[in-house]
Amino acid sequence: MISLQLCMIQVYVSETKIAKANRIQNKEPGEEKDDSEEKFEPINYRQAIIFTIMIAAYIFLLEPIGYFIITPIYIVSTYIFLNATKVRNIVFISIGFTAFVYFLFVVFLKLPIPMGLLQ
Amino acid sequence: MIFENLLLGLKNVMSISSLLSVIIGTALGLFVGAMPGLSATMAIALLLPITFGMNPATGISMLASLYMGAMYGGSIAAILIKTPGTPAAAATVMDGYPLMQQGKAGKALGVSLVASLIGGVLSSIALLTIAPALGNLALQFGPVELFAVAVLGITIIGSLSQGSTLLGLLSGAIGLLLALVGMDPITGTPRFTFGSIYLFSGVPYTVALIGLFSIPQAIKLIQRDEEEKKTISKFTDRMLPTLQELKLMIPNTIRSSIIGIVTGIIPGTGGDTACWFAYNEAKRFSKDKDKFGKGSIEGLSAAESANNAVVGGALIPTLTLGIPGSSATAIIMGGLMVHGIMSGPTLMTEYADVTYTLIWALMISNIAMFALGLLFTRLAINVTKISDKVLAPIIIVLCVIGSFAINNSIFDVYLMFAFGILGYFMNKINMPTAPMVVGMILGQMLDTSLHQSLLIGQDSWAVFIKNPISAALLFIALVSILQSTPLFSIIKRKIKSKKSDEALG
Repeated sequence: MISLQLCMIQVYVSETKIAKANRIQNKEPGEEKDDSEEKFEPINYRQAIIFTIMIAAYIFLLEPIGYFIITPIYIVSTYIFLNATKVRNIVFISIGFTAFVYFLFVVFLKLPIPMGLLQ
Repeated sequence: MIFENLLLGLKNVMSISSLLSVIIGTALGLFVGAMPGLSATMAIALLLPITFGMNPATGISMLASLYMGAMYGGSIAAILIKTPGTPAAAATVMDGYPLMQQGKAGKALGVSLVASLIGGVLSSIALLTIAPALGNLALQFGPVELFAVAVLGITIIGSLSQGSTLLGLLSGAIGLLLALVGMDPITGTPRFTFGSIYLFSGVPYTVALIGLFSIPQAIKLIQRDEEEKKTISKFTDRMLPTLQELKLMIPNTIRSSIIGIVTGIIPGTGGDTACWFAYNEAKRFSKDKDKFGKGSIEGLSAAESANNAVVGGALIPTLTLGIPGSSATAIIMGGLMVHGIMSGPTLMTEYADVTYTLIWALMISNIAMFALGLLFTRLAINVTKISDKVLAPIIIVLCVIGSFAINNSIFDVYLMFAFGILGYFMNKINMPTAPMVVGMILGQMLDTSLHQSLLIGQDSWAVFIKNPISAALLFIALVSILQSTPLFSIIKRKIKSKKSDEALG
């Protein structure tokens, strides 16, 4: 009984695969745009690589320095590097967000967080 | 027994903490879904560590309602800025955006909200009825059948995920390999630990999940040079559809919901498949096909009801068999396992209180979604204006603290980062990450059940063929692998040409 059902699912599944393939074949004008936009975006490799290195630095300094000191430093430096937003917003987000994490994880959930220098 | 559990679940979900977590989860989902840069899967992965401190039923309900809320949230960006907020809202763009161009943005959002509600409620009902029945059946499964279920789960997800079957299966195989790291569950022999004490307990897949779904997303958000500013207009018209439009929607949404539920049940296919499938079917059944793509209410409601219906459908195999239907449900399953609850047949009996609370929470989250949608859609529009570059570091900060909090270990943070880099390159070569996650989760089940089955069969592999259920399941797994071989592609091409002939003629 269950095998019969699963066989049916299998047939159905191959149908969906065909339907998918069909969709790719007979692309409607609107769809085509969405697909190509996703794939052929120019990538700023320098930005991506430095961003990744900054993450690595952040997590390696996490234990010796402490989460609640390194996090605002990380957020501020990343925002400056990415030229993400205004200075006022950078200060507000870095402090506000660290405080939010502190209240959520330390005060509310009481989870142990590496304190580093603050200990 | 089932009826008692149903009532127990309903009673649990009606507590203030449960209701609050459902509402918070749905609201988070709504906003996350509305942001094109954030996927629902990522949000669930980031929320996961926060739920550890809660009781299991409440925490898991929160994750599931986030999933549900994000499915509607995705349509907000799809309709207003022509960018689907989640992949599952891709078909919503087709008719949602033209409606907005006609100055009916509010109507489009309202239709999408009502369709999401119907889809979600129907899928919750399906979950409520199918899951206990399937769970009863699965209770008779022993290690031999469970082994076959695990094999089937990995092969189906590998072969059905987007992209090539080969890469999907490879991804699943890597996941299985990673699951073998650590002590053998039966003999206790350490494997692939390279002498490192950190690897003795294995690679924690919750950590891998957070890395795989968050880091690549964050890097992707900042790798573009300049983001184009998209202007978002406020809408002023009424959201609720009229009675006449509702009449037009109902048969359509019911059909699309069924499509969504079935697509959800099949492991590996999710909202992105379901919405196109339902959209095409709606077009086929519709009386005025010309309106499709030009702002058809039918098309919009089909896509939106299907992607919400997937949520309940995808939870059915996750809860009853322990095979996650999508990456989002894989994380929900991971959340259960962190609380020491093994997904699979026992979930419907031993942990009935958690399971039935979750099922009811999904039902309630639909109502929460409807209410929050009416109240906050206008607010959620502002969220889509947040710059991607502002979001990226916030994601990193959250996934670092999340991966640390799971086992309170800094090693896990490094591991999470490594998985993140791996995931980025997997995305680059179009290798799906979901099979890998599922492989890691099912690997433990596969490992244990293989060992036990061989003990039952006195070291003979014939035990899997002698058992009718496992033989059938393994046969289906074989077929799904063979699908990618040249033999099958010839047959498929024939069917395809026949189908496209029909479509043209």
